[in-house]
Amino acid sequence: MEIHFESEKPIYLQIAEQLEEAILSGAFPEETQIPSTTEISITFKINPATALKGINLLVDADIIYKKRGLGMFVKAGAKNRILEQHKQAFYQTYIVTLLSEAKTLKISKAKLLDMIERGYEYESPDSERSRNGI
Amino acid sequence: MSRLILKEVEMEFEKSNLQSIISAEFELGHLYGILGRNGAGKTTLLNLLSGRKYPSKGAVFLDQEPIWENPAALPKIYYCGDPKDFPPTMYIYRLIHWIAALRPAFSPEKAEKLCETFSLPQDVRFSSLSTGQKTAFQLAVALSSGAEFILFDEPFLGLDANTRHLFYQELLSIFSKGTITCLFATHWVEEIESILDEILIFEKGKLVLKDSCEHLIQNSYQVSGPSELIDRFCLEQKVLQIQTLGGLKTAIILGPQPPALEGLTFSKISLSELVLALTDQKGGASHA
Repeated sequence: MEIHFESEKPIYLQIAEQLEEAILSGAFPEETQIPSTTEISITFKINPATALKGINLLVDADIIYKKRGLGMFVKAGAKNRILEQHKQAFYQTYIVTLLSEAKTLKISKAKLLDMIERGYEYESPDSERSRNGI
Repeated sequence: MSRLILKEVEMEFEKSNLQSIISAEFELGHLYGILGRNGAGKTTLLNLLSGRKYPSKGAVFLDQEPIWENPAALPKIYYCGDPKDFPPTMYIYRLIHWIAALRPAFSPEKAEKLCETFSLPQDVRFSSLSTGQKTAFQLAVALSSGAEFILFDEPFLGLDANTRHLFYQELLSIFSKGTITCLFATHWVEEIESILDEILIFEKGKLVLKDSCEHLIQNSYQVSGPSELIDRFCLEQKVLQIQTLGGLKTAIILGPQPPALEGLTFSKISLSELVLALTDQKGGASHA
């Protein structure tokens, strides 16, 4: 996990996203405890209130829950819920940005669709020409 | 809920004729940054808040109690930053017990443990410590003071990166318990900005801005583009700073970031960049 202090993204959002990534990767399995606000604040040298704000975002999203007197735990089914959210965010995060950059570079719609096709062809894991294909 | 309150206190500067009346409140559970250029009044403020300097007008209160020579209030406030507070010829291990005799809330055990954490020798005189070691010892004492309000005056003087890291670990684990408030007067904003949640900016003895870091970050941005476009855009904005690089201009602006505009590039700026822009103004007008 790493926090980018120069990023446009607020730190509490970065904390929430990185915890989600850790849950997706299996580093924090469902029904296990995640690091405390204090641990997160010390590790990243951030204000504990900022760490708490990030954690609360995940509580609201039904990803983690509080066990009284014990700490925060990953909820059962959290992994699937995160995947669903990421799919929903995919359009906004990638497609919108992609189209705006394509516009700047004057790449036509046909050319763009062609590139996506090519991506599917060449970037498949068993393709030898992977990453070289132009 | 403790509060340290500055009520219409006069800030005086002996060397110049600057004078101003300041009121401010510090609440439990926050990490405040006291920022400003040299001679802006940061140390004067901390001296007033810790009862080391008597205000010629107004008073400092801990909740309802005036702190001046008040044995009930003063142990709850600790000023950290003047190595002259310690007798130079005293050995460190004796110094720790000397402080314990003066400050009942101080924990000598905690201080000894922190000296070990910061790799400080205890069988030497205070005067034989290096600059950074003196700072580290002062920080160890501050974190063991048992005070609710800890006022750090340039807490990183000569301190190496490892000890700074250890200091943050100790500070944040104590702070997380929710029983202390810290004020940091420093010039090194980028070093500490990630842990601060509120800042106060001083300029020539005047408090020119007090705001939460979150609000400040949300309410400031940088915009760059061709000179003409920037000049036109800036007409209706609160501009803090403009930099010119050939035909390219970059402005730092206070206010919410507007939606994208053709030809202009918007980006967020860090707290340290913002503070630099805020204290860079000649004339020193208020921006709040």
